[in-house]
Amino acid sequence: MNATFTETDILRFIYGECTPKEAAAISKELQKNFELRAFYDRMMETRLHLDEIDMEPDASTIDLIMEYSASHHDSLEHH
Amino acid sequence: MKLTELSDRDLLHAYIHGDEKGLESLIQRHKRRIFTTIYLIVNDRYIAEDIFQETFIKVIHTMRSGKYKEEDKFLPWVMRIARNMAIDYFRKTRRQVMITGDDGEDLLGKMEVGNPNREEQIISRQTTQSVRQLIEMLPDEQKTVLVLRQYAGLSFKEIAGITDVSINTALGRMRYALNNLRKMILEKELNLQ
Repeated sequence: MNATFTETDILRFIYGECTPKEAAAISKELQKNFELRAFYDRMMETRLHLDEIDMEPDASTIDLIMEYSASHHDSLEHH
Repeated sequence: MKLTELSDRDLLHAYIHGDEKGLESLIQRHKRRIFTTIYLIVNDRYIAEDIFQETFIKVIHTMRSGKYKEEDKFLPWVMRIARNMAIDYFRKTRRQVMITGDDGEDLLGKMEVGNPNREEQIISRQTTQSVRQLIEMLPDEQKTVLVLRQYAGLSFKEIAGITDVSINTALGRMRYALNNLRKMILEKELNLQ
């Protein structure tokens, strides 16, 4: 097998850090190299889980921001 | 038309022209994404609240001073400000990035999800908690790379610079982090679909 790319190359590809030329070559490689394709699928699947973390600030923090905005309305206004 | 139906751009215009509700709607619309990113970088609820607030104070100053550029998309612009502030904190404190460690239970108690369905809320909270706990179980050097790449959006080159390792080492740590995380997810029998 012509193993042109490594798993770390695939990681750079997944995170959009390859040159367009590299990305095109890796896309092509993924269509024929099942081992790398399996790695790619595993990593992408894991990334989906990382996106599931979802938190939000306390309501009082947003209230403070809005109070700041209202109280500085005049002093910050540009000419 | 309701505020929730307006685009970010329209809300920005409304705010710049004196309608405070424009800013409030923008915050409500994007608060989760911005806050989650900050929190995962600094790993401290109170610091994250402070940075979230400072981020929007900067946003307010920029918009009110007329320095906001129309071509800047609102969310990427705010995310950039928030991320830079959080990374500054990370650099100053030189802390290892950790995902949990403060009052997680309290945090989860404050979380809300968009869907009002109670069962879905519980599942969402459990998933968030599980993934965060699993990330916490990773070795510190893997956790650091994972958080800086996945949530702070730094490139592997930037991460290598911050953590004082080669790019290949940063990439290797990321590979181990994702592989280990996946193994743990499978072991915990989380639904990967």
